[in-house]
Amino acid sequence: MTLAAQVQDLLARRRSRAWRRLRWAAGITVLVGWSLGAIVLGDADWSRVGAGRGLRLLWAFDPGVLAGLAAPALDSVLIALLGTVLGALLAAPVAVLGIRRGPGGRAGYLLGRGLMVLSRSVHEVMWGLLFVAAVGLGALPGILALAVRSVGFLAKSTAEAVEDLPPAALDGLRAAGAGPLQCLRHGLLPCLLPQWLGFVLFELEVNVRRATVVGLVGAGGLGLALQRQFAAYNWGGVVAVLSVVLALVAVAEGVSALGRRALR
Amino acid sequence: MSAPVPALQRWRRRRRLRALLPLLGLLVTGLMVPGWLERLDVDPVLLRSMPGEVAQVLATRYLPPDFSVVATPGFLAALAGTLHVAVAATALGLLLAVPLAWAGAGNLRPAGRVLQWLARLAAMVCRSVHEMVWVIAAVTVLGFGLLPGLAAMTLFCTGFAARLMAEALEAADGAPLQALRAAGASPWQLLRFAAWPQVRVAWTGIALYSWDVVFRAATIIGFFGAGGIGEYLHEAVQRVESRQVSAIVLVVVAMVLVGETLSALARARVGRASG
Repeated sequence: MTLAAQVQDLLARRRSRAWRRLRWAAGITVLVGWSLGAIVLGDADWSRVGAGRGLRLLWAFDPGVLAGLAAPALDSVLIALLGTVLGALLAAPVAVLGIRRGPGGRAGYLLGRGLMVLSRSVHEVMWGLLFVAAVGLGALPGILALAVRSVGFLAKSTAEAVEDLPPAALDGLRAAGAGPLQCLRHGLLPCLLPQWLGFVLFELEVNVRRATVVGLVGAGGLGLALQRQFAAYNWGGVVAVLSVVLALVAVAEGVSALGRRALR
Repeated sequence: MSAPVPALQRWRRRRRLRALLPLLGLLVTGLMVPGWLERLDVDPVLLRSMPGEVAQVLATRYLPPDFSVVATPGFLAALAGTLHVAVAATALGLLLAVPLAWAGAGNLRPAGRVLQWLARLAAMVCRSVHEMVWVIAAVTVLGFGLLPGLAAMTLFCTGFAARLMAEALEAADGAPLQALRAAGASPWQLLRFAAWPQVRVAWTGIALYSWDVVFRAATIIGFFGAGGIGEYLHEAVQRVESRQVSAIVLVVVAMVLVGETLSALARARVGRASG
């Protein structure tokens, strides 16, 4: 190819790339513009938007509600803890199944991955609804909802951690004549346990956040308290509950970060 | 090795202790579980019989799903509303997240230390409140409809996209940054020519992932008055139309799966195009 042809070719390729980018940008802009238009022009009823009124409502704070919030706050924390424990237990077999070229075989791998996707693709509020319908009101549906919702992340990250394990340690143990149990004890666990605990701590933090809302659909904890304040149109109470939620989540984040740092 | 060095012994003991700490934590947790269950009035015996009960309730009350509600024009319009909220909120959230991530990244810090911490704080506040709490707050201020959904989902998306994007920036190789900084590049040039080529793929992945997460949340915001198919879910739950509930849930799961598959394909393509 002559130099001129090469330059021509390069320019043509650059032009086509620029065109492709432009097409993508235009497509996304149109899509977003259409959506924004549909929401802001098509659906929003500006007469109902009372920013000033709403903000004044949110500004209210009912300190009288605070005293009664200690018990639901504790409930929320316990729901999060139990949900995480149960979720970790449920996630273990799913993780084993979901290891690529793992013990489950091809069918087991697909089943494991399918369960992970199912767990993650249903929102915790919806899991809460389903379990409230199945086992009635109370803390139990909240625990179950969080447990089932946690399986996806815990199983996925655990399975991927196993896949990413350096094979050298296991090969060495096997070459030295270690049995399967010894391989598990000396080859897998030392690498895996700290990582796995890190995942569980992270999920616990997320579950505290979730535990504060599953009560909105009848599964106990602070969400239930929030629901009650809403039902009573006590906006000051709503703000009080929300501030407790914020404080709780901040504490959970701090604890989880500390725990994960200690593991490193 | 002859006589063991005391320091080495101490180090070994400490290491063994550190290895035991996680196991101790697990043990304590296991011992506390019965107490926690009692405090929450959950009967552990109930847990054993429960899977069967749940299966029975699902089989008798939730199956077969009643898809009649899904086929109505109102539901399809609500579905379109959910998609609109997901698309618009992801776009706005990412637009807000980019400057927050840029200002909050410790290795770029284009606007000084104070703004860095402010940006991080803003992202943290967005993130630490559960998205449904944002929805409730937005409905209180903006009234019912898709608009509060858009506002709440935008905040939600901003919160976690800013964190992920900032983490991607901070993971970038420092050498190009240093070279450009030494050559006198402006903060914008630093972002455009040193950081952007490194984070382009990661940020695209984060953007697609954000769409996943926001869409999943957008399917139920209607439960709290913020429009979309969640409204139908709320209605069906309120009227105890369990078969309609299961139909709507199935539709939502199917939609989320389609969305996740599309974004996984797109992510794989972005990864290939760059690799």
